[in-house]
Amino acid sequence: MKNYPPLGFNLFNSQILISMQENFIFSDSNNISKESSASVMSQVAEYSRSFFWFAADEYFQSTLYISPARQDAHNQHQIKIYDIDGQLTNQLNVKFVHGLPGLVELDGLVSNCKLQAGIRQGSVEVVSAAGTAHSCEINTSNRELTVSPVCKLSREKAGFFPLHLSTKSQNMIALNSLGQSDSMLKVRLYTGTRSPELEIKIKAFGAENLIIEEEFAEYLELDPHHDQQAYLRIVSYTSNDLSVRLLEQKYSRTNFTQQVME
Amino acid sequence: MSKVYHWVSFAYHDSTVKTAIHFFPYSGSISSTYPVELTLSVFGNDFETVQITMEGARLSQPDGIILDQVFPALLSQYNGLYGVSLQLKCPQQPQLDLSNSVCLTELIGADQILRFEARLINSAHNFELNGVCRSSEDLTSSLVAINVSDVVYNNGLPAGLVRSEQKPTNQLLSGSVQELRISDDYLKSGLNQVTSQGEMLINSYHLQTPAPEIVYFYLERNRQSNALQNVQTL
Repeated sequence: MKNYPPLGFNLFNSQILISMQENFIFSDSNNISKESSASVMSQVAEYSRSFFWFAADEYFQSTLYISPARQDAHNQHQIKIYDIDGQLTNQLNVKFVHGLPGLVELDGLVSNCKLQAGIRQGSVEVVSAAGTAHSCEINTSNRELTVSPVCKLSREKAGFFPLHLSTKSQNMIALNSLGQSDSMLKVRLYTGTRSPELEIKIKAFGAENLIIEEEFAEYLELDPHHDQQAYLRIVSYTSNDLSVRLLEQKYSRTNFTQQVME
Repeated sequence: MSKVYHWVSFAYHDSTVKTAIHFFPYSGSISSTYPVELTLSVFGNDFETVQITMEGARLSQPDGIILDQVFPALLSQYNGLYGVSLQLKCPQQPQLDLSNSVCLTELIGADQILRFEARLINSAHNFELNGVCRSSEDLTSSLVAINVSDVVYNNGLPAGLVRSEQKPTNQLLSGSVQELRISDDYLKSGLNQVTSQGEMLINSYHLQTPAPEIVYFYLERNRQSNALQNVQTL
């Protein structure tokens, strides 16, 4: 097994087995996914597969945590990085010490990912042996920004977020899709007696952002002195699995986009 | 008789933190806003279980309540964690499947809001739980175990995972809410890594859930202030 030199990112308790920088050839992302999945799946009959939105730049650090299943003798994991358009930009296989967890700081893996809303972002997919637990923590140096836990949704399970709307905050949802086809969603805001709805499309393996105060501006009458309780419901009309995070920015000086662009 | 869907969570009360419970009764493509009956209970080690039934909730309509406003007398003198149980049913459509409804807890502090999902205990149960725990000079971690059954259970935590000076560490009484700090020795037996968040001790934990009515959460607190910083529903 070949040890590769450091690639400019932090990856703990691990040995890199394959890195895209060494031996990856670009082609259609769907084909890549099938081939790569097959190589890992040949070792395990069942597997755990997770998909997270990430943000990684000077304001955000995203870290993938992997806790192996008790009976997993290999502790080997496949990681793929997709940009917001669903294009595969990086992939690697990692092997951790038997019985111990591992973590991968994504910052150094995502330099090929595009910016949207001033944030370098995309999706990370992890495939491991059945019973493995995955989580992706997003830290921010901005104390006024809160990132919610991941909410998974499907055709059966709607996404649901309480919102605290005011002129001193901004709420953004970050959605991503695990499907190999485009996903269609309806996002409905419940505010007072109004419940406007809009439809959005997410490309296969892609990501999308929605700033609530901008998208629903005509329906909002925000008060600078009081938070307004509202709710967001997100329903998928396709069979793809999706995940959503809510980013809440409290600010006194600038709005969300200006702040990250500064 | 209507089928009842039952969620379990925990709440927190002190002079700076209040708890809101938000719920979204949902049954897939059904768009009719049938009335939904909500039964809310709070319970804990230091007070009797109090239960109220509320009307006015409707299918596909999100709603929420602030517990401090619903139980002002009970919580005014109380500081700490306590358990919350929320049950939804649709009397007009007794067979309606509400299992895809969502129930969220919000711990609202002056500086931050922590939000996490309550655990639905009707659904197919994962008896083996697996996750990562960690600590640093700024961070401690613990597990919260809640028993909403009528019987005493072993708390399902493996030996050595939580600090041994805390008693009882293995008995989980009916209606009890236990927060058990993860032991430094256990964390030291995992990884000791310098990360971009500083030096951290990180280890995996594996729990064997004894019954569907036993629900777990993973918590992280600020080591200096003891303030809650992170909650995960297990």
